[in-house]
Amino acid sequence: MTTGSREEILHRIRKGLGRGEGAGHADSEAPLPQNSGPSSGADDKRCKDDLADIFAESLSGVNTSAYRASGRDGVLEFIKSFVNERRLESFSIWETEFLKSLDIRGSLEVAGLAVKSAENKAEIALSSVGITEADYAIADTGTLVLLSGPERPRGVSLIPPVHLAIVKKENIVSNIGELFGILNKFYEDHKTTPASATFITGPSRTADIELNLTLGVHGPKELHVLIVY
Amino acid sequence: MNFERDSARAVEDKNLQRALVNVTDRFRAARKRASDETPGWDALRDRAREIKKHTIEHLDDYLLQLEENIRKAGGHVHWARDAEEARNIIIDIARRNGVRSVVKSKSMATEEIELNSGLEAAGIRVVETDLGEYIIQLAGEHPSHIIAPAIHKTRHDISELFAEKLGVPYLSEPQELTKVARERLRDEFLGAGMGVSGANFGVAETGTIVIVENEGNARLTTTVPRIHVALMGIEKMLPRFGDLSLFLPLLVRSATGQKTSTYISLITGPRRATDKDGPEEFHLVLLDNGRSGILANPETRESLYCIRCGACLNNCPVYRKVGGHSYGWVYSGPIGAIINPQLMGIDKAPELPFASSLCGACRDVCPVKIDFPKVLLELRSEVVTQKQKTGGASALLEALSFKLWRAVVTHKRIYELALRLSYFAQRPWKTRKARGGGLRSLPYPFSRWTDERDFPAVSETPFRERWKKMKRSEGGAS
Repeated sequence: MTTGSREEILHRIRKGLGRGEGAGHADSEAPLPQNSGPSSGADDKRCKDDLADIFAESLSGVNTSAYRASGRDGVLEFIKSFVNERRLESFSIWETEFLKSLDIRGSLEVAGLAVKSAENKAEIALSSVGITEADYAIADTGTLVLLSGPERPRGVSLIPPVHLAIVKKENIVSNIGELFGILNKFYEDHKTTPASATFITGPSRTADIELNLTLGVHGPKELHVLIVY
Repeated sequence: MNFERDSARAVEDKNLQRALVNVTDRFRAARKRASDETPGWDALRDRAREIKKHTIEHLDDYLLQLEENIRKAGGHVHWARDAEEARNIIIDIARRNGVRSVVKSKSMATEEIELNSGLEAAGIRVVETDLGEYIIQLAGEHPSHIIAPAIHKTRHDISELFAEKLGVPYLSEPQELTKVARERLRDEFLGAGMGVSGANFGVAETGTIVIVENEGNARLTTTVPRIHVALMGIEKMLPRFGDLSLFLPLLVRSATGQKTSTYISLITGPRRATDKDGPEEFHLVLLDNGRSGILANPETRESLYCIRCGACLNNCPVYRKVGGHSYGWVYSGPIGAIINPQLMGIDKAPELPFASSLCGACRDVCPVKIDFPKVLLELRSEVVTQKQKTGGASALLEALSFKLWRAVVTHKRIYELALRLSYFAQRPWKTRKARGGGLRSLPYPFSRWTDERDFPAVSETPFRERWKKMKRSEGGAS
């Protein structure tokens, strides 16, 4: 009986706290303590170019390669050499406005890679690379932030052995505090919260066997990030 | 549980001793580096403690707010008074949906309710997917560390285990073993009808649950199967979404010393109508199982602030010797010593509050500054009070001894006489073998002390006399 349990648990809590029944105490009392997380120390007046440099450096500290390109041609040139060097055969990709505008999908198909549907987990599992666009990135920790949505299936950044994330330079923020400020505003503006927001820092890893670091235990073995200027 | 027996066994286990030093040293150094590098670390801990205190003091409000927001996002919320109810809720969800196979990510709460044996008894297959937990499940054991559940096993143990249980050749490299697990578990993820996870935080403001991990198995567990069920202790609440910007760095840096973990999943309800993947159903099971009872005692209430980082284990001189299994239940180390007795009932784990030297190293590293020594002392006093109530010969004997002791030490003459008598009485047991000419073994009940360590011998000249002499000679010299 879940309804009975709900009432009973709430009753036990209120009794334990020495209060009467009924909710609504939290708001009426002293304001909550400030919750800002660690800052970078330096005042965050760093410009986006600086942040991109810091972000790239943080990425190298978590087994992740950072690349830079500017403009559609620059991006496509990078993508071509990226897939050629690794002899990648197939891919699945997010259909965000930005990625569509670059037409990465079209150019990969021209290059002879098979496109796998991003809507089906079994198909994604057959891709040699998953390509996504990070909504935000955190410079200080080398973190990518991926929100779920209609054109942004979660499996693409998770199931294939290689993950290539593309992030616009202007979406790089300084630290986690700034990120939560932006996410809060994003949720308020859209009057909704996405089903999933995933923070990714480096490739999948484990140290469960004698503390030996092993990459790619469940998620991608390789993570690559392209910063678009 | 039997802490005395199990800890004695652990101290004799050479592999375990090596593994314990290895893992705790590594985590300690990493935590120290990470916290030193974080500006204002101590102030962040104060802030986190204040927020936790506020949250626990308004827990009913925040749970209701969480429930409302999860429902708005299309998810279901269940309330479980105890372990059995939580198990039944999860088994029911599985049955209603015809689920035959469940994948699980790492969760101490599911260990607490013994979910796996419950599911298996209901005819539902369950597979642990965190590599450490997978190893433990194959071996039929229990985790020994919050963060690194299989640290008590060597690569040789694991190689033999995989060869025996999975029918693969003996593989000695962690990389190869990990690859085998990846392949096996991929099939499990794709075939499972339901994923069960824990939750590191629940955010009232948005109806979000948060899962912190490095492997990606929790992401697979919460993304691939059609149903996601999360089990969360009611104390894991945070009021605001923005609180995560404080608690996530504190948790990860205290746990492994990483600046941040590889993956952090913020999950709010099931997939949206237009989403292409993610679970169609989302259920959160809120677990009380004794937590509201902890909350009722203001002296020990702060035990509920814990965010399960494991830093207190790594820094505890007792845990570092006796390991996780000695604590007899799900939680180990200092946090186990304070919450196991409170969750299980103090009569079920009366030894645990005493399994500490009260050195306070746990308090010094705790990201929410739980005052462990204070809580331990409070629990010790409860154990003693209860023992006195239930009586028994040993309780009576103990009470008598203390009365006698008080009579002796509060009367100078009697005390001096007792010292004199002891000096002669100890002679038969005095031996040169013990350090500083102490006593190596004494008859019962004093053997309870000398079985484990030497007892310092009573000196021929009592300290007071020596002190007087020293004073006199000092006076003479000046």
